[in-house]
Parts: sequence; C-alpha cells; structure tokens
Amino acid sequence: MIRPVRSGVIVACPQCGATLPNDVITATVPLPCRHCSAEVQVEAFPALVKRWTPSGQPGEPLTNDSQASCFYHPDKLAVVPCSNCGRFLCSLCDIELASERLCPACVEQGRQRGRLDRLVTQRTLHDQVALSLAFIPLLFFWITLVTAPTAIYLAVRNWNSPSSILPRTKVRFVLAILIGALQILGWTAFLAHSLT
Amino acid sequence: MRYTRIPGKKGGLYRRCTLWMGDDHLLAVESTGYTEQYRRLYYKDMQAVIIRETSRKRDLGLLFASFAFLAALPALIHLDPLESPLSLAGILTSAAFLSLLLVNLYKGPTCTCSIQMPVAVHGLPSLRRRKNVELFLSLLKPRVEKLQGKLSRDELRAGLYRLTVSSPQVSPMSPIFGGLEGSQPRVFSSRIHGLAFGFLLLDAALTWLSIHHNNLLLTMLNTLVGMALFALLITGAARQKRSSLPAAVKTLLWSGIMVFLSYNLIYWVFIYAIFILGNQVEVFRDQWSLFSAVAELNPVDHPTLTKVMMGYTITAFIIGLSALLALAMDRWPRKTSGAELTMRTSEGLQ
Repeated sequence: MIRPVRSGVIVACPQCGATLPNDVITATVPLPCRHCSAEVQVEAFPALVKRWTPSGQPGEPLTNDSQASCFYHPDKLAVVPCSNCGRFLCSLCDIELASERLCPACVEQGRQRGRLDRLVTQRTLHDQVALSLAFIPLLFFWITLVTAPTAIYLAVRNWNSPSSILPRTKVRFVLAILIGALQILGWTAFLAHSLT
Repeated sequence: MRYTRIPGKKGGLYRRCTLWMGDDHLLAVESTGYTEQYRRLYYKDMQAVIIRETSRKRDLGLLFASFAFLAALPALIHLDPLESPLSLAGILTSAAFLSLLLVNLYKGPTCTCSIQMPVAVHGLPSLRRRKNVELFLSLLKPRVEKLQGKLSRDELRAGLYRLTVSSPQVSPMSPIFGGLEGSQPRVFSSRIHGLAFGFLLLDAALTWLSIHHNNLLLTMLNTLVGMALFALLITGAARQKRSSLPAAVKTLLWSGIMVFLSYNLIYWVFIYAIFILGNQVEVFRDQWSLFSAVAELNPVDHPTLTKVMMGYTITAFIIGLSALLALAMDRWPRKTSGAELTMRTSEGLQ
C-alpha cells in the first residue's frame, strides 16, 4: 500500500510504475499509460512542482550572557518555551505539533503515554473487546461463567482508557456490563435452583 | 481534532479501511475490530492524487450475473418451479445475486486512488468507486489550496517541464516497472490459464459424453483430462498471485477449482454409495476393478447422478468460456490511433 517515490520520477503509473508523461499528468480526463494502457488521471497540487525542502533551523548562538539559553543546548539562544514543561528551547529543539511548541522529551513522553493524539499510530478498542467477551461466549454458554465477570472487569477497568481517536461513544462498555450482569444473574439463579 | 468521514470502505475478512478528513491532515484508519492503526497525510505535503480506472465493476457484474443465471437454472429447467424446493431456493438465490448486480451498477465505475507525498505514494484502499473519489477530491482540494495555494494548468506544465529538464536520467518514456499498489506485479504469459480453461471445457465436454456413452476408453480419457486439469488449475492459482492478470480471470480460476473439487467429491460419494448400496463391494478390491465398474455404470439409470454431471458440465462451460473471453479481452491490443490519442490529449488539456 505504500511505495517510495523514486528519484527523478515525477509521477509514476500506479499499475506498472512507468513514469507518466507530462500530458497525462496535466490532463483533466483519464488517459492511458503508454506502457500498460491503464487509464490514469492525476490531480496535481503545487507541492508537486514547487519542491521546497523545509529548512531546519540550527539554532542561533548566544551573543551575550543576558540572553536566555536553551535547556538542551546551553550555547544556543532560546526562542520559545515548551508548552508542556515550560523549558526554554532553541529553534533546533522547537517541535511544532498542531498549535503547540514542545520539546523533544515531552514529545517522546507524550507518544509513549498516548497523550498526544497527533502521534498515536495504534489504539486498542477495549470497549469492543469487552463487548465481544460478553457476547460471543453465549454460543458456548458454559464459558460465560468465566467470561461474564471478565467482561465486566474489562469494561470497568478500561472505562477511562484512551480509545479510538475517532468519535466513539461508551455504548459498547454499557452493553458489555449489562450483558455480563445478566449472565451473572442467570448463573446465580441457576446455581440457587440447583442447590435447592 | 474533529474528523469527517469520507464515504467508502474496504472490508476484508478481518480488516476494514476507512478515510477521515481532519483540519490539516487526512487520516487513514485500518481496523481489525479490536485495534485501529492510523496513518496521517498532511495537506501541506500532498503532491498529487493518482486515480486509476479498473474493470472491477465489469468483473463483479459478470460474476453476479453468472451466479444469478446458475442459481436460476433449476427453476428454468423445471416444468413447475414453484413445486420444487430446489427451484425455489434457486429463485431466491438468483434474486439475491440480481440485487447485488443492481447495487453494483448503481454504485458506478470503479477505480483505485493513491496520494503522492514527498517520499512515498500511499494507497487509499477505501476509495474504490469513482463517485467517492470525486467527492473526496471536492473536499480535499479546498483544504490543500488553502495551505499550498492554487496551481494553474500553465504553471503545472511549466513546473513539470522544469523538473523533467533538471532530471535527465529519467526520461518520461522510460519504463520503471513496479506497481505502486502493493507488490511489484509479475508480468508473465497467461498460457497456463488458457490451457487450464481449455482443459476445463474439454473436461466438461467429456463429462457430457460420459452421460450418454459408457466405455472404458472414454472413462480413461476423462480421468486423464481431469488429472491434467487439476494440475493446471493448481499451477495457475500458484502463478497468478501478484500477477498482472485481470481480477476476473483470477476469480474464475478459483471458481473453476471449487467447482471441479465439489463435483469430484459429490461424484465419487455417489459412486461409492451406488456400489455399496448395490452390494457390489467386490469392485473395491483393486483400482482396475473400480475403474472398469465406473466405466460400465450408466448414469442415466441414476437420475441424481445425471443431474450432478449435467450441472457440472453447464457450470464448467460457463466458467471456461467466460474466462477465455476475459483473457482474450485482456490481450486484445488497444486500438487507439495517433489522431484519437492527440484528440483525447487536447480535450484533456483544455
């Protein structure tokens, strides 16, 4: 699903990989690739032709002792404080993430703890796990003696855990707790009846 | 961050891909149901959206139409279809496939879509219909233009020319094989597939002959052709992976394998049942006895067996003919004249 862009290739045919000629790239209707005849249409943006390389700022050196210095580079001028920890940062250490300016340590910490949604690449859907654990074992019934309390535990335990970064309600957690509770009630009634 | 869902999703056995539009980036989500994986594509870095038209709509249409016809066969053959449960089931199944066919027609042309970024090209598997791609572009373009600015056709042409001149080692016509969607497609001749489907037609013809004629030679020939067919089908299935063959041909090959295996399973279960229930267990003492007994068996005396053999014959003919037609269409040279190409190019540039 992801292929690197080869050096010197402006736009490549998605089927055969041949370089597309300029008339195919600029056309507003699909045109056939000269090599594999696949009908290809390209919607180009300015970044395709205005290939600027973002210049990294190395950080300006301190010119006098009264200037604030970077926490990580004491010989460089501080330009901005970290939005999270407040440490002074030079332009080299300044990482812009959405509207925040963060230091490398806060970015790494935020990534590891899953607090920066922008850097999250994977999430576990605990609500779906709890609901499946409550619902699917009904097919085998006897296992629900174990899975019902487990489903309730997982739902309660992960109620506030970070879930999908997409909009999602807690309805699956609620259903898991309800179904698990009903199963436990059922087992209680069954065992009480058996004992009497 | 608020996200807007882009219509379209690609679902597999255990994975589902969806696309969401944020304020400054596109979010591609791959979900297994229990986990989600995210990929962010920032508008300010997007270079191009590449759309390739596919024949998936046509292939699916052919598939659904074929299955609708096959399912309706019992009802078409039966004098009073409503009296037969099999015919009724066939009508219902056929109606279901016809519904799928109509939905496929309504959804419109199919395509693949990918986004070129500075260092990689990212496929967007959830965008498989042209309608969804058009909607996606209508939402994406304003956001990209807001960050990157607008680009006129003249500026694009000038920029491309500048880039082409500055990178002379890659001429516009040099072929660099390696598909962007998935692994590099293998380009090989489809002779194995042609042979397999040809043998499928031959096997169907021999099966039909076996219904009306019983002799050892015909049975031997049918068996040999069946063995060769099975070998060709399996070889074709192994070789077609990641090949440039049309999806319809690949699907039909797998259909052929399933039909062949199903028929042989049912056929041999019937044969064993006939001999065991007929107290003819002595035929199982060796292979040659069994072979001779099968050759002498008259399928016409066993209506169910006849129906199974007829069903296989018809199905195999349909699959074989459809596949050979699809192969022929794939190999048919594109008859685009120079004038037509120039005209289309001129229309595209306007």
